[in-house]
Amino acid sequence: MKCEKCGKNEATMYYKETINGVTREMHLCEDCAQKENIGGAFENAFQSMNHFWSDPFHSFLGGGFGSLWNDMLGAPTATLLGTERKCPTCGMTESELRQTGRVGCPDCYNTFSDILNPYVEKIHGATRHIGTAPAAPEQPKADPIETLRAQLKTAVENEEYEQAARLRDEIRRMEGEQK
Amino acid sequence: MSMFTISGGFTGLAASSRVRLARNLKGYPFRLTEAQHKEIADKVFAALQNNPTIGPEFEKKQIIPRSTEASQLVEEHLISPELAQNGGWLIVSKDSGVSIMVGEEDHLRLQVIGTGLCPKECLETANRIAALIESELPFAYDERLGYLTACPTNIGTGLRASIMLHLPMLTATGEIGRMTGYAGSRGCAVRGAYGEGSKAVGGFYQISNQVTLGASAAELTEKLVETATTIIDAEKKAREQVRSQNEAGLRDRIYRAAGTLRSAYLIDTSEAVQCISDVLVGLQMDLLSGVEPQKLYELEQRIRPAMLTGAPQERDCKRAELLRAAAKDLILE
Repeated sequence: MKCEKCGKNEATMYYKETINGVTREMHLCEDCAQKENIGGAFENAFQSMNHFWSDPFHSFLGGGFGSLWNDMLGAPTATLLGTERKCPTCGMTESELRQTGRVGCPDCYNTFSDILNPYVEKIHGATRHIGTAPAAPEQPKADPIETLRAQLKTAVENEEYEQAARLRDEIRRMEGEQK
Repeated sequence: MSMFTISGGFTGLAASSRVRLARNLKGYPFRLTEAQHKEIADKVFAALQNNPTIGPEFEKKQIIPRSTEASQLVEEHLISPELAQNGGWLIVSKDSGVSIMVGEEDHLRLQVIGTGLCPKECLETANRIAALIESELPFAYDERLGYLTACPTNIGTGLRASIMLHLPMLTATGEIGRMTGYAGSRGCAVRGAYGEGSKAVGGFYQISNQVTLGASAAELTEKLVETATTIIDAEKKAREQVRSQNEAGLRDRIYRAAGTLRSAYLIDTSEAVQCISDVLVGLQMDLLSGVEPQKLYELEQRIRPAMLTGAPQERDCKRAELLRAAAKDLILE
């Protein structure tokens, strides 16, 4: 199938959005998807969470401070089916993250760092933890580039090409930094 | 028996303090199966039991979803409504000062509650218990982001420290808005403890830290205490101002409230909360004596509609009965 926008390239992405009950579907090539700023809707959805300070102890705090879930329900949705990013450890997808505002496992903070880091900075006004740390120092970490290479291999094997491209770029960037 | 019973000062203005740390065990996803909840509860309980002093203080309970016991634990603020709804485990000290929920959105929600203004003391206890668990069960931790949590709003320290304040005069004068703004500028949020939004019934407010990353738990707690103390001072000043302007009016209002609590046969929640609020002011300003403010704070929780059963009039009758019993020792100064 050809891209519905340019009519030239092969459509590799299926895009579906629902805004105020109106659903729009498109088959696009990667270039056109980028031009359409697909995924931008995700950023907007996160904007609406700034007022979220909910505490699970609703009874203690009196409740009624709104929840992330409620904020998100009213937000525009955009789903990239098929080509969606997934956490290699727990399988959480980008749209699940967006819908719930919760990550699936500690590694999600790495997988979705491009989304979560700006969000974390926005909420906390900081990017670095200060204070209590585990008493025993952790074992020296494996070479981060090697870890990424292993992830890249898994992504290629699973035919997750978008994720693979992202990892490839990250490896190149890190190799460039080392030089 | 009362190893974890923590009490702080300002009991006339600060009802209670609470500290919560969110922690997750390394090597597990955040969302767990029922079997994993049990596994983690068992491991955490065993880690506590390995300490001969602290171990015997704790007991472990399974939370059966939507059970009567679960709703009672919610009313006692020992578990969240979510845990009561979905089930999980509770590891709790015999004096209820320390409670650990297993099965909330994070593996562990460690909570320490005390009376009066004591978040620092609560934090010390929470840190001690967390370190004890962590020495045997490593937590999910990242050098940059700190302790990792299911929701990015809790990462870093995983800390939520809060103080319940009683600020009726700042509410009456409207100065509470300015105080809320001041607290906001110091990274603290002030919310009405009961009722919708900012409308605080009886002048009860909850003040808590907003961010969890970028400052240590001790610094966040220190800032919270400083902010709360400034607000408490403003409330005290407002009370003295009212006394100097119209002491007779103040006495009249407080004594009438004491009279209502001592004599009412039917009383609804909002009148009861208002009267308790006025009597608390009377006790703090030495216009009344004979009853501990803490007893009234506890009562204030127990008379809420969810805590009493029966038809509305029956509840009003039971509520009045509880209040008459508590207020019978009040002395007008």
